[in-house]
Amino acid sequence: MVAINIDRFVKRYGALEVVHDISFDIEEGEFLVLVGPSGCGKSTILRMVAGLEEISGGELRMQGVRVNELSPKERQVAMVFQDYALYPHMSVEQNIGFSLELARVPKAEREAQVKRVADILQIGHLLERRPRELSGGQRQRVAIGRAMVRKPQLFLFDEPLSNLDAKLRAEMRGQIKRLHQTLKTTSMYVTHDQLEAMTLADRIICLFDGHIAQMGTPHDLFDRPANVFVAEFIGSPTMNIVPITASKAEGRTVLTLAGGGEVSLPDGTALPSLTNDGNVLAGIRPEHLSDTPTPGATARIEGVIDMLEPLGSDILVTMQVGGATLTARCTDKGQFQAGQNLTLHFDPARLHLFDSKTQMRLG
Amino acid sequence: MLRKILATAVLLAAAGSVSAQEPRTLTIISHNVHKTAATGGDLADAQNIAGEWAERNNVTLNWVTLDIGPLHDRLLREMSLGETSVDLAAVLNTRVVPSVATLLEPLGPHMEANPIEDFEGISEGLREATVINGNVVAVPYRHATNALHYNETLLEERGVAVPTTLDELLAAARAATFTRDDGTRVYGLVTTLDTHVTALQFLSAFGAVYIDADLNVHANSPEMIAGLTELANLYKEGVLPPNVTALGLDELIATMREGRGVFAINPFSRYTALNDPAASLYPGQIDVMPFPTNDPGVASANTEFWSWAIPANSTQKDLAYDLIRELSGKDATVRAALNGNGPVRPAAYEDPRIIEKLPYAAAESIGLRDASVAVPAFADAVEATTVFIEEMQAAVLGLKTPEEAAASLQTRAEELVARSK
Amino acid sequence: MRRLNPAAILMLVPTHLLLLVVIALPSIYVFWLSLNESTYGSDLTFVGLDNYVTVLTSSYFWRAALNTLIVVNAVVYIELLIAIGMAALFLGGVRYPKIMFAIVLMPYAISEVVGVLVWKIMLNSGSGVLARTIESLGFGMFNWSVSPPLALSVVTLISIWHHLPFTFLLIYAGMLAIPKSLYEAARIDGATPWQEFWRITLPLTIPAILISLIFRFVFAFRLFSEVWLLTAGGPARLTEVLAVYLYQSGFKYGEFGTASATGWLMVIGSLGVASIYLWAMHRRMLKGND
Repeated sequence: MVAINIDRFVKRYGALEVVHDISFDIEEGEFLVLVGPSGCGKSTILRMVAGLEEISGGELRMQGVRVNELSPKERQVAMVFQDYALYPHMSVEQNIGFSLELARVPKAEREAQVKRVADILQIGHLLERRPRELSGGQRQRVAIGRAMVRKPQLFLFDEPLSNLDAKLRAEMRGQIKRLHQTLKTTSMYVTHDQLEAMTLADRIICLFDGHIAQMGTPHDLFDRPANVFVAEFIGSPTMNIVPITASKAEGRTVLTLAGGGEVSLPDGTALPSLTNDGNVLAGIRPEHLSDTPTPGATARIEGVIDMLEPLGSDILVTMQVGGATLTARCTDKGQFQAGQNLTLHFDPARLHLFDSKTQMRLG
Repeated sequence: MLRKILATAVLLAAAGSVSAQEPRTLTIISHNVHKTAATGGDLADAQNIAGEWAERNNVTLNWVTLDIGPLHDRLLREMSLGETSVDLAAVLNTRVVPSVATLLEPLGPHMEANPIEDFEGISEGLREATVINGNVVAVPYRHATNALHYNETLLEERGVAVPTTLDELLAAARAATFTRDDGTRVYGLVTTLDTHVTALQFLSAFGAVYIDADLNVHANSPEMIAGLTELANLYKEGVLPPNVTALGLDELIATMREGRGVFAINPFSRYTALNDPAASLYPGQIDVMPFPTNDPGVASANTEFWSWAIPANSTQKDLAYDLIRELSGKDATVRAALNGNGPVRPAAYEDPRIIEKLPYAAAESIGLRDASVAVPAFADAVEATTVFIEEMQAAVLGLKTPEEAAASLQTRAEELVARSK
Repeated sequence: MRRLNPAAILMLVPTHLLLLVVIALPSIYVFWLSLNESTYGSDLTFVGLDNYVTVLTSSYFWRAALNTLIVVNAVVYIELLIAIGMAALFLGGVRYPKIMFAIVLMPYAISEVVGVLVWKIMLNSGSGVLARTIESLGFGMFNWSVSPPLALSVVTLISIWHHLPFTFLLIYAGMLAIPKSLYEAARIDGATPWQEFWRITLPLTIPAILISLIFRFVFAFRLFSEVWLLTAGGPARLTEVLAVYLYQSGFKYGEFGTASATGWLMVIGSLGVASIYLWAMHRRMLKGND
């Protein structure tokens, strides 16, 4: 069942339009992540949904009812802020219970509710403290608690983990995921971190410059990026994208790299119909390039090792292929040396082709 | 050879230092009116008496002009130092109290060696007031004697005759009080009751004396009570402006110039300002006369006067005395009067130059003749004036009855006098 | 408390020397003066606490103290309320903010003397534009100069007018320092604008309010030019404030001993008031509420 309809959203600041005609739905209980680089409009959309920004054009419906004109409170949304936005002059208990107090919930019930939430988040022992006496992670949990206690229709997260260090971020990510699995509250989560998006989302909307670049499950975005932008944005290390020319020679398809290098494709490889006389962009993820032939990895490419970046068990190998640069993620057995010749193998099915002009996916 | 050149150079240098003697600088601290009186200031036909003297004596004059309070404050500070750069100062009579007189150079020896031209020609009352403990410590230079200014045009408009006695004046002031059609109020009598001088001027017309020259207090007299009662009545009836206890000099001048006041208590020399064609709506129509009493032909005139004095810790006393001598001469007195000064020599009023230039000269000479000092100089003279202002204002505003105010004033003034003896 | 190293102490020395020379030494000298009788041209005569007795038994001192207390409290609290209101208004957004800001700050740029004199002219009974307006509205003649309560009210009004920008700036800066996200969180939590002000803005502005209270009490205690230029303490010395009383004894009567004693009593008085607020601030700091 659809909980939220975002219908043709537009946001303008004076003459400047920053969100252009965006529409999507959020299913009941779904965890939707808006991801994109800074300035893509993701936070603006979230704040329009929250009621903190006026909706310049389009309609917001919750449970089928237009709510554009309603206050944040009336929309029954709760929000977790990037800087936590805890009230510094109130104790943890008062912070969590503030919305209930404003709603004139009797004291006894209020305390019970706060306690319930605090127990879930394991912050029951901190209730008397003030925000400045808490660690970053504890503050984050209080902020989540403050959102939870209202039993909202919709949870909004505005980059809630970006102020935490890497270790804590991973921990809190897990906690949010578990929390959502327990509460099943419809959630909208904004982040610039594709890893967070991939791990948390039921569905991801990738935004670019106020437009939707792609919408789909994490797998959709990873496996079939709709355009070069999504291909490069999702996945780490970044997908290799190189301009190539595809031609037929003796019945076989040959991909020629801009600098002259060639990629041999096995017979019978099916390519989508190409545009621009075969001048396209080819993409392959580093983890899909291998230094050893594996079943299915029937395509090959040769070059010279340029740089090595060990990651522990794996190593990032950067290779020069006739003017183009390719990075591969390989298992590190100490077999690589800079300057060495290297042949990389890959499965042609893992190859992504994009129109060189429109940057859109081919096939 | 070298030796010869050096010797010549030394000789030349020595000769140069003799011929190009540096002009001496004489520092004078005074109110701006004294500078104008002595130099003519910006006047069109300025009589630069001090300037001519300075040129003759190769002296540079350094004038420091300040308002009354800061002037005495600064002077007293300078005189409390081991040595001061102030060589000559203008001092107000009430400020030359015995403790201050000890800081001033006794002028007797200077005057014996180098007499001031016709010193006896200076008004006797003023001369006597500058003798403290048997020493002449200052030479009178300027007097501000209070008088009655009146707007002839307004009197005519209201059909009121120019008064000749105090009672006539009080009746005329009442009759001349009215409200114009546009709501502008015209007050019969305008004065500044935030100082003691003008109030004592009014009261002295009733024969009231606050503290006499021998330091006897006469505050609780029937005359004082009668005067205070009349003042309070005038206030109550709206003949005096409602803010009379806070009315400043600038406001008084503006009120008269704009025709919102008919009679005013002010020094004679205010004539020029009140009749200034550039600023007054009634130029040449505001005349002045000695303040009348009920004794026909006898005026009541309170005066304050300024004198020149030399700080005892000055380093150029002879030079400073020489300038005092110059400024106090007979001709210099007349010329300073042409600059707008109140001349301390009654004879000056008979000088044709003054009669021609100052329309109020004759009236002022009568005023000066009958003048007495408002409050004599004694240690707590300034505090005595403050006490007077307080009690007088209380009586005028009805905070106290005139009797209560007079009685209280008597007690408090006696305490002050006793303390300073 | 961290211990200071020699280099830090060395760097603090110039400031402390300066404070010593311009504040501590003169204060000590004034205290010494207050124990002596002296005037122009006379040497100091030690009189112990006589000057304090003279001042403290003077009915004029107590009237001045009472006037000061009334005016200072009225000025400080009314000014604070207006400043909070105005700062809240600016925080909520006003049209033409830069122009409005300049207008609000303008009184502070005007010389105190000029400002008071302009007010005095506008309030001149009978001819001042404000006085005549009040009169034409049927309130009767606005004759403040002979009415101590009205005169002190005018003093209060002008003092507030002149110092409001200072208090406004302190409080507005305090309010600007509150993160915007707190208001957004409060809106999401369901707070009305009124609740936002009472529950968020005001509690978080309290440090700025305390600081401005301390500053303003200490400044206002020295209240002089408004009174001196408007009434000079009159009529009949009924509107004198402590600084005017001090000026009279020190600079009109030349009684340095009583003037110095008055000065020290003023210092003690304003420290007394300020210490209440300093104590409140200290307590907040200990509780960690800032």
